[in-house]
Parts: sequence; structure tokens; C-alpha cells
Amino acid sequence: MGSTDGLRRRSVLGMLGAAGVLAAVPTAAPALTAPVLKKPIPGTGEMLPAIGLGSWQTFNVGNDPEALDRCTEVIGRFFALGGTVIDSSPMYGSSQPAIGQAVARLGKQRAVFSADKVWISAGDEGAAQIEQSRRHWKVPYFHLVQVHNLLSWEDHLRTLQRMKHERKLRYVGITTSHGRRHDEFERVMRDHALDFIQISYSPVDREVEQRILPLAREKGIAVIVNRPFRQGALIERVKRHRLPPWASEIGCANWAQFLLKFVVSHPAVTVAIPATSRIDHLEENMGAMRGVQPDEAARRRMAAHVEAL
Amino acid sequence: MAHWLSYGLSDFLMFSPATYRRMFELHNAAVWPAQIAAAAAAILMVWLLWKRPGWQGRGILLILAAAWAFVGWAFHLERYAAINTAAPWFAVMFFAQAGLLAWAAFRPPVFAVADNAAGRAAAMLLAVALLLQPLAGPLGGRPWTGAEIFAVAPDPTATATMAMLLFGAGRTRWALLVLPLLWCAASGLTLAAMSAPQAMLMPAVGLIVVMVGLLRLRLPVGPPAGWRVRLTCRIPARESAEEEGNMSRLEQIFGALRKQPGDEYIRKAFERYRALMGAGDLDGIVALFAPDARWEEPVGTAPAVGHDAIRARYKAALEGSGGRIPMRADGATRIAGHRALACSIAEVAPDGKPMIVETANVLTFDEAGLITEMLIYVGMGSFKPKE
Repeated sequence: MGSTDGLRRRSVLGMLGAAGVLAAVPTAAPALTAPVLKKPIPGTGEMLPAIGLGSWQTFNVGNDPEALDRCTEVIGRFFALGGTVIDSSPMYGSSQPAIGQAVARLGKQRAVFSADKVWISAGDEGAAQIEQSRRHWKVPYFHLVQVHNLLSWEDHLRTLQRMKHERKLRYVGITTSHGRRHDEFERVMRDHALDFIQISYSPVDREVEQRILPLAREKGIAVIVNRPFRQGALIERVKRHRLPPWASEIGCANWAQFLLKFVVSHPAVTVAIPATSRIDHLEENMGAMRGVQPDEAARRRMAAHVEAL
Repeated sequence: MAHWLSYGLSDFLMFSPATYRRMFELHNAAVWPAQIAAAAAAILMVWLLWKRPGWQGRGILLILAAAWAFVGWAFHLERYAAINTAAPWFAVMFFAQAGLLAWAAFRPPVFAVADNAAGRAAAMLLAVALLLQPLAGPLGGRPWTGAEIFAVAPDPTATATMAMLLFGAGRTRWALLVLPLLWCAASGLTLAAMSAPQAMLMPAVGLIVVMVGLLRLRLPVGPPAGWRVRLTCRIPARESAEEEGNMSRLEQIFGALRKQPGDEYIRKAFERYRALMGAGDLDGIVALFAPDARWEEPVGTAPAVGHDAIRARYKAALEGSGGRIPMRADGATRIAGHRALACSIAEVAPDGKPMIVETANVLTFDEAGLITEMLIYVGMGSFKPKE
């Protein structure tokens, strides 16, 4: 049922867009033609569209041809709406090959900002795993490789720095999620040269605002935010309530945009990577990097509002 | 370790519920027409349970072993591993269970449908495995092509295996139940992480199996189907319960179920004995006896005790008569409770010379319907030339 709705909605949006009337429709929804919010990678100044695409669960579809077609459709729409950053991991089952076949079929191997991870206990097997991941992705190189959940991070960071030096990848990072091991995470941030960190952040998971996000700004590290919806649980929770009337003032037409705009409007945050396998959800998400963004006062109001629900 | 515990169950789920459900459709399409063989195997297993031919135990255990091996390979390795990094470990678990079942087939128990709480629970679980689990998905709105069936999908395979093991006479075979019970937990956790409505089914099945298994440690295994149970209802009233002091409530209830072997069962059992002798079915004959049965022929000589010794005696007797000893009844079977006297006329051929021998067998049955003692009255005067 959901997918038919999605299809209908997508074709309607398509027709409106084609007719050039979308911008004229009186709605709080930021028009999909509005400029995309891009944020710089502090180390190089390279600009990234602020909404990327995660792949935990959603693209782990095995070798089901129908499901792979749907992944390709979602990723195609993602590029069409101005996205470039796709994040995956060897821990995500068959997500890497699913992304790889989609990117290849769409001819986007050079357009994608490929962010992957190394996730293996044996420090000396990191390079081989990254090469295996790269083959799954069918890309010439990774833009970013991150040490997944700090697993064997000393060895892997050494490997990643060497690969960066040899120009086999462009950026090096570390990840955590669910607010884990933040003390150790902070130490690695202080003591090692990192281009990116990846952390969980949402209006109800704000611990990173205390030290990690300020430290990232101070050290000039780009920030990727995972679990902005707490893997769907947060959006399920807030969806039971109506959007506050003032949401339209900050360009939010739905809860997805409300939660995502809160995340990407933090000055230290570079890109948020919600995951979805649905076109309609993807379109909602991508809308968050268009239109007005909340200022600091609005952000405080947003967090207080979600906390109170 | 502590930080692992703080993850939620759903944080470990690598795939979406839709992908998981769709996997069964793809799996069924990939292994077709294995489903036909699987259905035939299920029917054969039920037939073996009902008819109890001599190769019953071996047949059931080998069917189950094949089912676990096939699911381990075709489902876990070829299908599930694509979306779940734990699936190769599940495959190892399924191959190990296949090995254990095949190993058990060397010394199979007798499988019987006992007419008691354990037997009814086992029958119910078998119905769950062969009917409810395949139908659950389609009735819940999933396509028929995604039905989970015995020997093709893991859940009904585990349920059917545990049900069959509960039918096995004698002590519960815990070694064979460990991995299926582990699978109940794994499957339950996976479905719970997806908030699937049937998440509690496999854990509930596992719980029933454990309860019945533990109960059987204290309960006599009931008589097989066809055994008429005479209930002497003397469930004690509260006052007498207090008088009986520390007797547990369970013992009060189940101890009150006085079972006696039905005449019909004993008559049939002896007919069956004669038929198996006539067919020369050594396995079938031995399967009629309890593992520690006593067998004395002629009465007054050293008895054979246990399956191996009894098998050796019958083997020698059958070989001495060209592999078969046709028998017919000589008068009615006289039955007194769980003991009976039956006379027969058997055709034997000692030294290749056809003769008939008139025998009287005194039999004692246990509550599982197995023969615990057979006394054979026969003397020199019992042998007569065949006319």
C-alpha cells in the first residue's frame, strides 16, 4: 500500500515539476528546485550537500533482483535531488554490492562521494577489506574511509593515513553511534589527524553538543551524523503529534525535515545520513537541505519541543 | 561487554522485515520442487510414527537429519548468508544437528504416540510444524509463495524435530534437543527485533518442549495410540492432599491416572509379533521389546536380556529356518491387565526339515506398550512333523 502511495506521489511531483508550477504551489515544503544547502569539509573547503544517504538495513537485500531495482530507483532519485554522499560499511551485509550495482547502472561512479568503513579486528587485514569493499562499490577509489566503531583503530588509522598519502583515498575518519565510547573517541580526535568523524545526533541525543562537536570545530574536522531519526523510532514517536505551526517558518513541511534541519543546522555538522528504502521518505529527507535553515534560537526551540513530546 | 548490553535488540537487525519476508519467497522459488520431496518426507515420517515398521526409528531420524542438512545448506548458506553475517554460523549449527540425528539413527528409539500429557503436547507441536507454521504467513497476508515449510525453512524443521523427539520412548534425548532449542531462541530474537507478530511462537515451542521433557523425567511414558486408558479418577480432595503431606500437586494429578494396557492393544501387539516373524523382520521384532527386556526360551534356561541379546537369539532362530518363521494363532489370547498368554503354531525348519512347533508365550508389557518380558513355553514334545 505504502509503495503505491509513494509511486502516485512521485509521479504527481514529477508532473508538477515538469510543468514548472511546483514553486508556485502554496506550501511550506521547500521547493525541490531551491538551492541545496552545502557545507564545507574544513580540511579542504570541498562543499558537500548536507543530506546524504545511509545504508544500514535498507540496502541489505541480498541478490533479490526486484529489491535491487528499488535500491537503484532510490539512489537515482537521491542523485536527482542533489545528493552525493552515500555511506556504508562491510558490516552492513549486502549493502555495498547493492549500492555498487546501483551507482554503476546510474553511471554515477564519479559523482558519488563514497564514504565507507573498515571493520575488522585484525589490524593487518584492513587494507584487504577496504579493497574488497571498493570492488563491491565498483568505484575507482573511496573518498572517505572511516574506522567503524573504533574497532582496532590504531592499526586501521595507520593503514588509512598511508592510503591517503598514496592517494588511494581522500579523507580519513572514525565513527561511533548510539553515543558510545565518547571519551576514547575524543582522545582519538585530539591525538590524530582526522578529516571526518561520524556520530549519532538528534534533538533527543544531544550529548555531542557538549564536547565532541565543539572539538570537531576547533580541530577542523568534518562531521557526519548517523541515526538522526534513531533508526525510525524517533520519527515514529513524533509523528503521533502535529507539527508545530511555527515549523513552516523554518521551512519544515514534515517531521523528517524538522528533525534533519535541526541536525544539519548545527554549525559543526557537515552532513546527515538518514537511511531509507522508500522514495517518498527520501524526498522528504532531501527537502531538509533546501529553504530556510533554523538559527540558534530556533534550534533551541526545536529541541525543547521534541523533548517535550 | 557492558557496552554491548546497552544496545537495543533492533540495533542488531541487519535487514528490514520486508527483506526478511521476501527471502522466503526467493528461497522457495530457488529450491522448487524440493517442497514436494519435503512434503513427502513429512508424510512418510507421520506414517512411520503411526505404523511403526521395523525401520521406524532409523527412518525418522534420517529424514530429520536430511532436513537439517538441507536447510543448513540451501537456506542458511545459499540464501540467508547474503543478508545476515551470522547465517554461516546458523549453517554450522544445522549441520551439527544433522550429524547428531544421523548418529542417533544407529541406535534409534521406538517412536510412539503416547496417550498422556507428553504425547498430546508432542502431537500438538507436530501439527504446529506441519500445518500452522506453513499457513501462518499466508493467513497473515504474506504471499503463499513465501510459506515456511518443514525441511525447507528452519522454524518448522526445528519444531517438527523436537515434536518427533518427544515421541521417542524412554528418556528424553536432551543431546538432540539442545540445538533445536537454541534455534528457537535465535529465531525468536530475530523476529522480536523486527517486532514481528509471530516472534513469540518459537520461544513458546521451545518452552513447551523443555516443560514436557522435564515432565517426562517424572512421568511414566504413556501407552501408544490404540491403548485404551482406564482412568481411575481418584484425584485427591484438598483434605487428603494435606494428609499425603509433601506429595506435589503434579504427582497428585498424574499419579491418579492409573493406566492399564488395553486388551485390544495386546491382541494387536501379538498379531504384529506373528506377522514380523513371518516376514523375518528382525528390526521390527526387536523394536517390540523394551531396551532392557528379558526373554526366556525355553522357560527354565538362561534368559537373553536387552535388545542386543534378544536380537542375536531371533537372528539365529530365523537363520535356522530360512529367514522366516510363519506363525498362526492357536486359540484366543488370554489377557490379565498388562500380562498375557498367547499360544501359536509356528513353522520352522531345523536342519532343513519342515516341522511345526506349538508354543505358549507369556508376555509382560510396560506402560510404553513395549514387551518387558517374554517367557516361551516349549519342549521336545512341542515339535511335530509338518503334514
